Amino acid sequence: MLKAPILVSIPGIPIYWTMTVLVMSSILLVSFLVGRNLKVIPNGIQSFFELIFIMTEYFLKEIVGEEGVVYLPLIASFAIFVLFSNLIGSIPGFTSPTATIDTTATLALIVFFLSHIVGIKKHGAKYIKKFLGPLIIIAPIMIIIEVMSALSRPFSHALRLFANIFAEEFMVTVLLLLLPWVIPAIMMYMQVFTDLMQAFVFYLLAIIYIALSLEEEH
Amino acid sequence: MSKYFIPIFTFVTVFIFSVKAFAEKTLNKAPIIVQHHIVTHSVLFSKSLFFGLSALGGGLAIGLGVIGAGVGMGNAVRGALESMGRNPGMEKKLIVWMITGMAIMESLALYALLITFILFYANPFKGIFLK
Amino acid sequence: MPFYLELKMDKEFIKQIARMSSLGLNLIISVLIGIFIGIGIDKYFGYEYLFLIIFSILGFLAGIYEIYKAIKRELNTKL
Repeated sequence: MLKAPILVSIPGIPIYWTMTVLVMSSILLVSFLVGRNLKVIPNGIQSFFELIFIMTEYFLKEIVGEEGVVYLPLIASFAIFVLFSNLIGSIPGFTSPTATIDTTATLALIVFFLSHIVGIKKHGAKYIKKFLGPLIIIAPIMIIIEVMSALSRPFSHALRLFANIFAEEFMVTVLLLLLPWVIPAIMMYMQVFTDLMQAFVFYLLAIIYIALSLEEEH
Repeated sequence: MSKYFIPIFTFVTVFIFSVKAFAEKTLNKAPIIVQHHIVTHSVLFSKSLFFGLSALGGGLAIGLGVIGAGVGMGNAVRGALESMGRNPGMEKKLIVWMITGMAIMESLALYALLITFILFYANPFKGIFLK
Repeated sequence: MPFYLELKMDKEFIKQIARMSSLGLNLIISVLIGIFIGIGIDKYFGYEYLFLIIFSILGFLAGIYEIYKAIKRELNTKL
């Protein structure tokens, strides 16, 4: 498989581990520096973090309901982690940790298990009613279909982010190999836009999946 | 049409089975040296034929599949934009419906991609050709 | 006025778009899950491809059902 040259690589360890650690440590560093001197009137990077938090709180309140504010730390840290790890791929010499299926599958599985556990906690035994379909006669077939479509959600959730980020990086690498002049730079600007878009969609789908298992059946 | 159905059916059936029978007969009746020759040469030949045709089929599958999905998506976007121009109040509803339709069209292109991946990485006829 | 307060008008819209745009992948992946489950059951019971066919059809139905539910929800929401 084609690979772009990579700046920091420790032999014996997969490159995505080092990249994940790099992303996490950079997030910790930035949030530590921002959190040390908070201002009433936010400037620059502080207003960016505040924007993410306010937006997440707003979406959680609108989509999940008033009880959804509990998930604010998880969803906001998802947003920040996915955004940073998407954007680190557009710096030459680094690759995105989200360009491998392992990272995105981990995030998607967290959302999957969390949403079902929270649904069972809220609805109790009534939660199985969601899987029985509209008519009681066709329930035995409907339960297989519903379980299958419930299983397909984390897969599509993970595969969507992975495929988009991987395709971008692969395309830039191939373009660099074919004609190493102006065009890869244009593609890298496009990459920033797609990174923001995919991070937003991933984060919104996480909220929607939690909301779907919390909502009442009618 | 029904008048000719039975004779044509009989002819086709007999033809298919006879071709198979002839093929088996000729292979069995060939001298042993010739058989050996055929076998040694056909391993490399069938390998190269197998990989070449798999790559060709995969490329054609994704290329031709994406043509249809692209034409369909273009038509969908054109229709949505035209009706948005006529009736700007419906914009958001139309965009959501357009994206629903485009998701289903996109799934057609993804089926083509699936067939390409199957041909490249998990070819079901691998066991028959490469023993 | 900051732009995240203007999002108030578009909340249903963004939600619907995010949900609808993942339907295409869902349709494929539910078929794939059906195929894998079918192959597993076939290996367990020793059939050749009986359950493979049944479960791939059920997986396709699952994808279609997901689309049906999304369309029903879309018809009930007001944009």
